This record gives sequence, structure tokens and C-alpha cells, in this order.
Amino acid sequence: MFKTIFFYRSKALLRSKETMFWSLLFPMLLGTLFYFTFTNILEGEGFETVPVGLVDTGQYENEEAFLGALESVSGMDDERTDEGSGDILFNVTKAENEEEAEKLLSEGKISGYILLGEDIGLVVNKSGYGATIIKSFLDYFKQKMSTVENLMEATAGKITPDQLEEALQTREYVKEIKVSEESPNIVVNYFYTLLAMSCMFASMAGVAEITGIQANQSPLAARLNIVPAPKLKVFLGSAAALAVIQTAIIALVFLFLALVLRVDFGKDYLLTMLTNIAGVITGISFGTAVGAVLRAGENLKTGICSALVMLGCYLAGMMDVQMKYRVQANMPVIAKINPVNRLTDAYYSLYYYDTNGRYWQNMAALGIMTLIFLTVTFLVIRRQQYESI
Amino acid sequence: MVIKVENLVKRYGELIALDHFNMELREGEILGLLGPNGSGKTTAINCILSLLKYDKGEIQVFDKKMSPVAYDIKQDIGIVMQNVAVFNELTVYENIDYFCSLYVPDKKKRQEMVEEAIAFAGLGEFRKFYPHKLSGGLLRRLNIACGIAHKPKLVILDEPTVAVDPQSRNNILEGIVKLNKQGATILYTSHYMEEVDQICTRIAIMDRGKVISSGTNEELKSMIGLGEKITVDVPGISREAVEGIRALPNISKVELSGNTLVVKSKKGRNNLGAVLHYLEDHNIAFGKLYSELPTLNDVFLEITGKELRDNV
Repeated sequence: MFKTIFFYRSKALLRSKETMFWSLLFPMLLGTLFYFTFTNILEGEGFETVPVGLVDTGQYENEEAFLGALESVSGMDDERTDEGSGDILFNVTKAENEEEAEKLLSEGKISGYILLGEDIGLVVNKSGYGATIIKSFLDYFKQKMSTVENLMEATAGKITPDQLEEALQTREYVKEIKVSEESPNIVVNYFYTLLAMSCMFASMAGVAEITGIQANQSPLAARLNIVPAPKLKVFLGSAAALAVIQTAIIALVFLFLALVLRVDFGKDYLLTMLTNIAGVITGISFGTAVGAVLRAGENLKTGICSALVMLGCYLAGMMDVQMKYRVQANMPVIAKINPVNRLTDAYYSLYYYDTNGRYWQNMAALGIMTLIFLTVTFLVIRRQQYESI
Repeated sequence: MVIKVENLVKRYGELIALDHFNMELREGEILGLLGPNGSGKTTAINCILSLLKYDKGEIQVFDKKMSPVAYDIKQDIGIVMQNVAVFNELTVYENIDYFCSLYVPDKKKRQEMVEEAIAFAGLGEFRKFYPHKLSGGLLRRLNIACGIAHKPKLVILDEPTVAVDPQSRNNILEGIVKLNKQGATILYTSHYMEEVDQICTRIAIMDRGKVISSGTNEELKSMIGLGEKITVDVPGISREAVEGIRALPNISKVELSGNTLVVKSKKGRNNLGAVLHYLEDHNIAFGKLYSELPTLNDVFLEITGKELRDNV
């Protein structure tokens, strides 16, 4: 009986256009949309060299030191580099006088200009990214010069170059211990929540499975309640088929994300697949528990289930990755019991961490959740009779 | 006894759906459970099948107490629901095979049974069709095939001909009689008295959650004080002529409505000849004339004071 139920349920699922759209096509389409959206954002977030003007009146007493410092982080106008090349901070355009610098500024060719008069001045049109960078640089230079002047004054000019270098050195008091070969990447979280969502979408099919054996939900379910076998047996055959088909579908979604959209899932694809399987089983059991506990029609149960999954996705950072961290910081319990968050975190653990401790913590949490969902389902539906059909 | 129900009470809140409902179904019978919509037929079936909780009463099937886990009893029951209950993603053959597999694990044996069910329901040329491609009548036949493929000893059919065209309805009714001849005991619910009249060996009439009368077709009709009913179109008939007909022997009631005269005879009596002679002897012109024996509707009307049809 189990084999036949499994066989025919698999066939039915494979032929279901609804299943194919929501479980396979929809995540792929959404993944593609994410891909184009986040690729642009990442490109937009690349560091841009700041164009800056320089008017040197020759009056500044530390002119030589300043020009040296500026040169060390800049390409001067005679050796200008392309914007966004990454290694240099400024592209410097030397202006003969303030009028010329003003012209460049008003034409938008520079973000601001440095005026070397008796002191160092900065002229900008508006605040912004470029103006902030120039000002930070000038402040840093002034601070260091002030330190040098103070030292010279305090030691009456008897300081050695080594002592001066020591005094000017910036010290780090926090040591960074690398936990990963990979660089942190918040964008992958969007794709991981997407894959987690796809797994949890199996919950809607889980609702259908459980209502499929609740006689008060449909004539088909009533018919299955009259067969000479425990309904749990019928349910298990059907749910096993669902788990296998959903896992296969999720595997396709995963391969699409990894191979076509080039989303980085780390190196261990086997563990990623294991996570997919755990996600599908958690999704199905979540759906069966929701379907068993709620006293409502199948459509309402499915609606509530999908709303809960989408809420889980939102809290796991699918729409805004900062939400994940906000929930983690302010409502850690919610983060712990949100299966979408656990799945997302499991995928991220495989991508980022060199060890799997955190990954297995997430998997254990998913296992416990699944056990709870299945227990609830079993307790509610066993030997269930109905007041009305 | 195939089914024995004693004093079954089922309440939906304040509403009493089954009020000390009693029923017996003997082996080899086709028992028709006849009643208007809302009389409790489907509720009774759902209680018999242990799908519904009930408040009071005893239900035995095949002389054993029925319960949700009485799988040995369920093995021999086939059910055809009022609403079509099949998988839309499976073909005709696959649907029948699926439901049959829940009763018959042996694949080879099952294949034969499925083929027989397909032939029985006349679905041979539609075996690869999906349900949404079938007409209403064919869908009903598929529903029946799914319920009877495993050759159950007891078949329960809950209004299987609702919304079915006359030709398909006849096919279904003929099929039910055939099933019965093959050895199945049948419980058939309907609010169509003609169907029950046509195929059932015994009839139980239900109203307000209880059986108000039961017996064979003839037994039920003989319970009431009516015989033949003659309906004749008599344009312009005089009051004296109506009174003359009323004075004929064995007449129980005469009603004139417009040009239509309805003459009802006393129990077990026929008056067609006498009425015809009267009309001819008195040169009364008449048009359409027909005579009919009492129907189950007359029985229902006499027992409950209301029309069975009005409630449909």
C-alpha cells in the first residue's frame, strides 16, 4: 500500500502545475531578480577615487610635508588614473588660483579644493561622500602635524627620527582573528533566505497533505478515512512522496542559484544538500502541524501557513538584511525559533565558517523543531473523528 | 444483518440531525434511503462509516461494532460519495488503481479488478483521460468505479446521480442493479423517488432525522388510502358533471383546477373505465387523459403532509 501511495502521489505532484510554479519557477524567477538587483548594488558600492583640486599659494609653512602626504595617496593631474581604480584616494588637479578651482568645482569636475594659504583650507559646494573623505584626510594630517609640533616643542627639537616615527605610529588595540578564508558577504544572505523560503514553501503542500486525510475537509479526504488502513499510514506514504519530490525540486533551485547565478554556497555541496533536505522536512512538518491545529478550511490554513513563512523570511532578512541582525540583537528567541532564519544561518555557516560547529547547531535546532511539529500533528490527527463534515 | 442501526442520535448544536434513527440492511438487498434534502440521509451514512461522532445509539456492520479503527469491516465496504472524490492529477485508470490499492495490495489481482471496474463503468475509452476532461456523467461513473473496484460486499451510494444527465443516470442505475446481482448489498440514498422506486428492493422513508416508514415499494403504497389517480383536461365542464363523477363508486376525491380534473380512487381501486364512460355518456368533451398508480411522493405526502418534491 505504501509503495502505491508513494508512486501515485509522486506522479500527482510532478503533474501539479501549482507545485511546479511555486516550488520551482517562482524561486528561480525571484533568484534572477535578486541577481540583477544585487549585482547593480554591489557595483554601485565600489570605492570611487575622489577628484580634488589643489590651490597652492606657497604660503603654508608645512607645504612640503602636506604635498608629500597628498602625493602618497593620490594620482596627480599629470598621472591621473581612472576613477574607481581602487588603490588611490584622490585624483588631484592643480589649479593656478582660486578662480580656476572655483570653476572646476562649479563644473562638478572636483568634489572640493584644498587651499594652501597660511593654513590649510577646504572649499566644497555641498556635503557628500567626496567632501567627507577630503575633510577626513585634512583633519588626519592636521592632527599628525600638531603631534609633531608638540613633540618638537616638548623635546626642544632633540627627538630622533625613530622616536618620531614611533610617536606617529597608529596602534591597533584589537586583534582580528580570522574565522574564515571567505570575506563576509551580506548579499549571499538574500539568496540563502530565498532557498530557505523555497524549502519552507513545502509547508503549503504539508497543509494539503494533512487536510487530505481530514474527513471534514474534502470528499477525497472522507474517502481516504474509510479505507481499511490507519490514516497515518496513508499520510506517511503521501508525505514521503512529497518530501522526495520537494527535495528534488529544491536541488534544482539550488543548482540554478549556484551554477547559473553563481551564488557562493561555500565548498561543501553535500552539506548544502543535507540542509535542503532538512529544510524540506521541516517545511512539510510545519505545514502538517499548522494544518492539524487550525480549525478552518484548507484555503485559510494554506493562507495562514504562507503568511507565517513569509514573516519568517522577512525576519531572516529576505527583504532587508539588517532585519536579521536587528532580530538577532533585540529578539534573539524569535531568531532561534524561526526555521527560515535557522536555514539561512546554516547555509551561511557553510559559506563563511571554516568549522561546522555553528552549522550543526542550526541543523540540531531544525531537527528539534521538526520533531515538535510532527508530534503535534500526530497527537491532533490520530483517531480523529469529526463533529460535522 | 449487513447494517443494523439502533436509536442513533446526532446533534449539531441545537439541531437534531438524527432523532433515534433505526435502520436494518439485510444481505442481498438494495435499500433505498429516501428523503428530502436535510432529512439526515448523509449524516446517517457518515455515522455508519464512523466519520462522524454521534451522541447516542448503536451501529453494527456485518454484525460487528463499527468504529474508526474497524479495518476488517472497512475492507468490505465500498463508498460512493455525493461529491466526486478523485485526484485531478491522475488519469481514470490511475485513480481507480490508487483507490483499489488501498484495499487490494496484490498488483496482478488488482489489475484485473481495475479492468473490470473500468468495463463496469463504461470508461474503457477514457482510461487515459484526466478527470477535468470528463463530462459530469463520466466523472460520476469514475467516482463509482473508484468506490467499487475492490469488489466490496457492501456498497454505500450517497446520491450518486445528482447533477447527472438522464442517459448517464440510467447507466448508473443499471450498474447498481448489476452490482447487486453480482452479490453486493447496497445502501442507496436519494431524494429522487423515481430512482428509488426503480431499483430498490426495500425503501426507508426519512424525514427530520428519522425513518418514518419502511417496506417494499408495494407495501409502502398499500399503507396509504389511495388507489389510481386520473388526470383529464375537460374544458368547460359543468359543476353538475363534477358532482356526477364524484358520485361514481370507489372515488375518494375529485379536484377541478382550471380545465384539469383530478380524480382519485379509493385504495386498491381502478376507475378509469367508469370515468371515461361518464364523460362519453354525458357528451363532455375531453382532451389529454392519463392515469397513474400512487407514487412514493403520495406516500410521503400522506405520511408527512408535505410534498417530497417540494423539498428537493
